[in-house]
Amino acid sequence: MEQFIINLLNGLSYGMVLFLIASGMSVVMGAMNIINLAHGVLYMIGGYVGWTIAVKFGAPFVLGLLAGGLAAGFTGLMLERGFLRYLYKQPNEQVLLTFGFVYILTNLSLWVWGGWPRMPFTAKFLSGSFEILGRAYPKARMATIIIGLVMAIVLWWLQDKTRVGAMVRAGMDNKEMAMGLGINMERVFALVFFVASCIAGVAGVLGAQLLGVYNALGLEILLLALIVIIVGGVGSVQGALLGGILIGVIDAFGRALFPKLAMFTMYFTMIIILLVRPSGLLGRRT
Amino acid sequence: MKKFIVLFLAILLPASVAFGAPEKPLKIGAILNYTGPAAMLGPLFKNGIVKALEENDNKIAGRPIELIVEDAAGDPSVCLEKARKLVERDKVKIIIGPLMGDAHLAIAPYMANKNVLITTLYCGDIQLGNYRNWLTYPTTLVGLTVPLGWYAHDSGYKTMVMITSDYAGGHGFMKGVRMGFEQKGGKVVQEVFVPVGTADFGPYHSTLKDADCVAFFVPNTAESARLITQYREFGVKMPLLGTTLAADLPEAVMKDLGDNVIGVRGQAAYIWSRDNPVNNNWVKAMEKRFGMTPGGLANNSYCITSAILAALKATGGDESFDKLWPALVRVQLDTPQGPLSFTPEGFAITDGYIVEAKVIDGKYMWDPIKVYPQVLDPRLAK
Repeated sequence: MEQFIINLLNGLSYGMVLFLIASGMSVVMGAMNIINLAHGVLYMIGGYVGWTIAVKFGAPFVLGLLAGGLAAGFTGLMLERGFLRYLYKQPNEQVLLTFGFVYILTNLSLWVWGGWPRMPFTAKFLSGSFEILGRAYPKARMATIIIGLVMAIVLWWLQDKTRVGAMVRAGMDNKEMAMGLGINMERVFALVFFVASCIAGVAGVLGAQLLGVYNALGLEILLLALIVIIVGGVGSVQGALLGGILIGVIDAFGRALFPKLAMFTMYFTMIIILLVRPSGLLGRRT
Repeated sequence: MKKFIVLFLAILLPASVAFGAPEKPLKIGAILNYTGPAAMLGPLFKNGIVKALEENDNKIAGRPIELIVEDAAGDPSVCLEKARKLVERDKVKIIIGPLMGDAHLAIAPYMANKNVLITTLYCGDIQLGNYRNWLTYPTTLVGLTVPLGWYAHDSGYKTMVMITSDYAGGHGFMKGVRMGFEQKGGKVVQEVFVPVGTADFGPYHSTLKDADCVAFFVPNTAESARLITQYREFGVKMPLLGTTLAADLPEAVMKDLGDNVIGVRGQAAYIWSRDNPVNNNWVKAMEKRFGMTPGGLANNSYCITSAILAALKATGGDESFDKLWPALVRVQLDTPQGPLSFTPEGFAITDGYIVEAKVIDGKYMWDPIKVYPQVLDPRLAK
């Protein structure tokens, strides 16, 4: 029983990191029809900046979260205002451009932070373990689950219960009609991209508690984010949450029960979902 | 008059050779990693090569040495492309590197076909010996880690759990641990295979069986650090024994790992703190030249380059493979790692170390606690 609980918690904590990575990318894809392959690099930048603030300068972990989120947010905003806004409805160009930025930003991070990976870090009060059913369990993982759930509620509220969220959803359904009603969609899109990039940065700092930070993260994380989006469905926070938790839990149990097949469990899940529900579990049917 | 002309020509001709026609440079290629997952390792390997060349004034038998460095980007196909460029465009006959086992296998047939001397940078599979143009340093994958199996048994452990990264290199390294441990009568009760790039080791740690110790190999710094951190977080109490530790977790990283790393023991190919005159002098010289304490990677490339230069001295600067190879496998050197020689197949024979993570004088470091002299892969010893 305790093994089941431990693996469930492992899956939930990993799933929350996956949710945070995927949610911003999913909303950008759904609301703006932009395929941002540089989303994983924004996660990495958040992680590096968070490490610099929380570990190198010894500031509180919360400041690291804030700085990581803002650094990724402004990098994302620059990407959107400087380049992507000229490429709406041009998916091929978007893919090429953002994939190019994966390499550019990865190399910039190599110059700034060097090649050595940064170790997993967390707040002082979250380091160490607590006992659950007679087994040690890391406090930082439990905190990741709680923070992930809080973020999910905040994002759901922003998306479904606020005026800005309504504008975003209106733009998703019919951009021209929304603009006809006087909504400045360009400003809304810039805001959405900024917030999505901020979430990626925050996820980078939170994820660093488990994974640390290193310069290959941009591409590794991108692949995971795409799997979660495919499983959960494009364009909704709820879809990203469900996809993240499902992939995280299946991956954790897969590793524990069938370690030799661990590489395939999440891909196998993705294939099944694609066959049964091609638009993802909570994706909008087209 | 005739005598005067003959005398004049006798003086002039050698002088014209010396001043008028400079010696053709001897080109040495190096395939290192400057981008990709092992990007941080390229400069460290290069330091060792540069130091060995500088000790010889960048010359051999009067010929200036030209070092041409290429980036393998951690990708076997890129590596093959770079090897072709070095051989076909730059006309090099000697290549140092690449690092990864998959890259060795990708370029081995091409290199054998071109009769080019090539080296590993950090071990190689035993099958490279079949080509007879590979210098495998410091030994095979199995030869490197077999002392850890011996050490585990010598420490009184009778049972072991192994965590193995699921690729050719991982299998090779852990095969050595198993071979050494079982040779002495130990028993492996569980072997857990983890995919390369594993982000979360938590699910694996929660399923480990009870044993006297846990031995592991995962590649690169990030994964090794994650495995150790998460092992501690999950409160697993079994002693942790690692492979390739000093290379994967240099002291700067140990400091970041803090208390989590203290007490971890394992195998290391080279350790800078071994106290012998050759090593002490080399460490001081490296610190002066590059401003940092050298690790196993710089040692490896230094020893490999030094061995090649010693062989080139023996051939009088002739780098043609047929002359160089026999000279190379006869080289015997006293290196920072210990006495170095080679088998006829090109496998290095040198010392192997067991180290323990400690804080000494306020510094996190790998302390050498045991030396296994002149280690050879047991399969080659037969």
